[in-house]
Amino acid sequence: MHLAGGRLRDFARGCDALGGGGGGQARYALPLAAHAVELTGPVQVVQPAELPPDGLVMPCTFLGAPAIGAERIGTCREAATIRVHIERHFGKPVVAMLCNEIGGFHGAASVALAAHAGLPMLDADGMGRAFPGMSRVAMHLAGVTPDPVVLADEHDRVVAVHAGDGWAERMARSVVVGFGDRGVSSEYVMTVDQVADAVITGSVGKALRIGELIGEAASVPDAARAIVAEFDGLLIAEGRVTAALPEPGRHTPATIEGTGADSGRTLRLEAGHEYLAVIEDGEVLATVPDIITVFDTYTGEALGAGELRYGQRVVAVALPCPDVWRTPAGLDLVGPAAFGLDLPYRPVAAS
Amino acid sequence: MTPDRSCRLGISMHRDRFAAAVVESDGTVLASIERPTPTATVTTVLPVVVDELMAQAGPRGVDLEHIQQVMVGVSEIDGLAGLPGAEAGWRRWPGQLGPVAVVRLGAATTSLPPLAGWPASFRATVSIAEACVAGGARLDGTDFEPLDTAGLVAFARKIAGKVNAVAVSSVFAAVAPGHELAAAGLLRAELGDSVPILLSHEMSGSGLLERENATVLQAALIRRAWGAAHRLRRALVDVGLSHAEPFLARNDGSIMTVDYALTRPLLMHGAAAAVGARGAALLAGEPEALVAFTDVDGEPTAVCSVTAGSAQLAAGSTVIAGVQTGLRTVALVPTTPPIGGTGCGLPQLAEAVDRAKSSPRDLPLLVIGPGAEKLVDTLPGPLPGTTLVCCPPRADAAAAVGVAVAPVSGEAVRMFSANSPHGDDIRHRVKEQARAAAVHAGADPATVAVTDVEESTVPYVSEPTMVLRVRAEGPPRVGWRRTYERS
Repeated sequence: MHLAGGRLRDFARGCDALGGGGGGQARYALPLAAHAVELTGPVQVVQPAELPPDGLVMPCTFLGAPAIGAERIGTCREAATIRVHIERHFGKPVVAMLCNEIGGFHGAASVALAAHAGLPMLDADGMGRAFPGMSRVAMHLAGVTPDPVVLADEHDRVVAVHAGDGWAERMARSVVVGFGDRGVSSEYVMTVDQVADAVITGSVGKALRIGELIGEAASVPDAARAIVAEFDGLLIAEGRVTAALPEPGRHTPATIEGTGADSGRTLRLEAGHEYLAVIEDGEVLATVPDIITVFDTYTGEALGAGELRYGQRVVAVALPCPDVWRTPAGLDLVGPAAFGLDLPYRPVAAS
Repeated sequence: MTPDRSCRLGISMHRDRFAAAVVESDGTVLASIERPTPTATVTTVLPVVVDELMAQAGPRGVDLEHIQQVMVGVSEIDGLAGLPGAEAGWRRWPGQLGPVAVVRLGAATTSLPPLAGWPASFRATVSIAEACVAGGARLDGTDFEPLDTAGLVAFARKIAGKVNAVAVSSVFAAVAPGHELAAAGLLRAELGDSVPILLSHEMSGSGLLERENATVLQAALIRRAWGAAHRLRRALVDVGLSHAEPFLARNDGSIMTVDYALTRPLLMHGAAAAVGARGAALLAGEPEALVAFTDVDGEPTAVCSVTAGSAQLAAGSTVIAGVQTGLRTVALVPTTPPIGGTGCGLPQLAEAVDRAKSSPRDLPLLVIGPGAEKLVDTLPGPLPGTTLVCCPPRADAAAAVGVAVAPVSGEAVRMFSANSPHGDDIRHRVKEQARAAAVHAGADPATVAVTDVEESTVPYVSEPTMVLRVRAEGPPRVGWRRTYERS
């Protein structure tokens, strides 16, 4: 499997769908990925079994404020710089890049980073969706240490943070502040051996498949039906947004009123940086960490939590999250309570 | 000689039709027409406009000499200029695009070099050379990189004699435009005064790439715009309106002088919809409303929402000729069905009306365009989500009325630290800049005033940072005389 051309566009669509309203929009990272692939050729997507067991897997992601990233678009060579430092530190070659967060912007951006670093991408990621925060990754649950966190800016300034769990994210963030609120970082570097139990496997292929389903469908609701059928999700409803968030990032509910076959239904959509829960008549239909996705039926785009507006025609679906998030430790980290919701977690069941 | 009355002539062109109106300076509409046109250039339309409108306005005591300004609005700049992606048969500005050169100040921004995402053939037509040289600013106003003056001079020598214009963009130009201004000086010294140098900080819109793309498109269109402006002025002389100053409608429904538009032709994009909405709201006396546009068969084509008499602009960027630009245009909701759907009728109109709103509140729906009356006549009953559906008087020529009454506007944007001790000073200066921008665009200096101040914070940045956006508006200046008439 490789990523290039039209498959990149499909992949980006799938990343947006897996963002669950968070993680920024993959469509904004798509030009970066397309240009990188034009320079370096297609990015190969590999399985752990294809890699040498003692080779290093390097997670890599952008950090900082979106408004800064829109101006300081960087070189994506930051990933190559970080790779050199990691290889020097560990004394071993890096054999693959790992996408930290498949959902949204970072999923598509990781293709650009991998291409510039000259690495294939592992068919996996750290979240299986999008979450805010550096430690909400499967690697953390598996006990992999984030150290050293290696950060670089677009002028090849590099900082390695050896601060231990709990402090790594704090120190890394203050380094990014020093860079001017924009940088690229790598943490939770692993050997291929370690990867099996420490990442969410199959994420890249899943995003690509979701994007293909969207591209093949005759209409957006058809695409939503195809996606829930293939990934054991729940088609929540078709409807129109009748109340939207006054500000992104706030815990304020949006309302979706059913249309067509769903007429008469009213859904409450709790949202923060991403969609957190869907509630109908006091009954919870889906919550984090399951993935709640709202497609605009006119454009087919997966709407970010900050993009909801009155009057939009939408179709909402919920997809089951990776199993690791459904464990007690996983729910501690990313369950409804971790996002300030006083709701029980009820796993999404296939419709 | 000062005429005893002051009137404006508004012309709006959309595809193969045009509308025109004569409006008294107090807003009274004296005459209007709406017609098809085989070759909808202003030059062919003007003689018809003058004959027919004056026949209507003459009995009301209005003569050509009373017309002090002529305002023209167009719907799509890409169609007008024959850019790729526009409908076939919609080509009006003959001549070449560009060639231009593109300079980006910010060497460490090569994740997407200038024009990297552009359609290949279009890019080859427009630009002969692109370069990323060191420069730009950081959010706190310090240098992103020191300006590479030697690199700029070397690039200028490479392109000298080969380009019609140069587009310059830089990282965080809205925070600190100093490097763009310095680069313009260096380029001008090498290329001479006859090559226009366009700077991205004069284009609104945050995001380096979208601002850069818009600047490049402006530069590419300049030669065509100059030709079009020349033809417009000559046509005005030919029809006996040499004393009237021409204005052009812009994306947000305001107007600008032709001189101002010469280096900003992209701002004309989407103007017909913006002035149409303005005209509809004025003619119906409904500053808060929804506006539906119709084609000649009475089919609704799109709906937009109007607040305080002006069309609401879309939050996102505008794609022109396949390129993302930072230009903001009217949030038009098309009545065409969703992906895979079929048909276009009343349910689609009702849905477009709902999608165009920003709240559940019912609003009047004002129907304008050549088929306005036909559409209102065929409506079987009330439309959900509206308080009433009406055709304002002269609905077919609403866009012409809207452009004739539009104000001249100016905008200034500045980002600065919320902890700056000079905050009030900066606010004061940005307001002055907005007023100056409006006067530059042709507003009457005596009456131009700040109409909107929007202050927001930049999310997720460690140093609290404000974005201040100020808008000033005023009526168009009067008593203008062409330069070559002076002495």
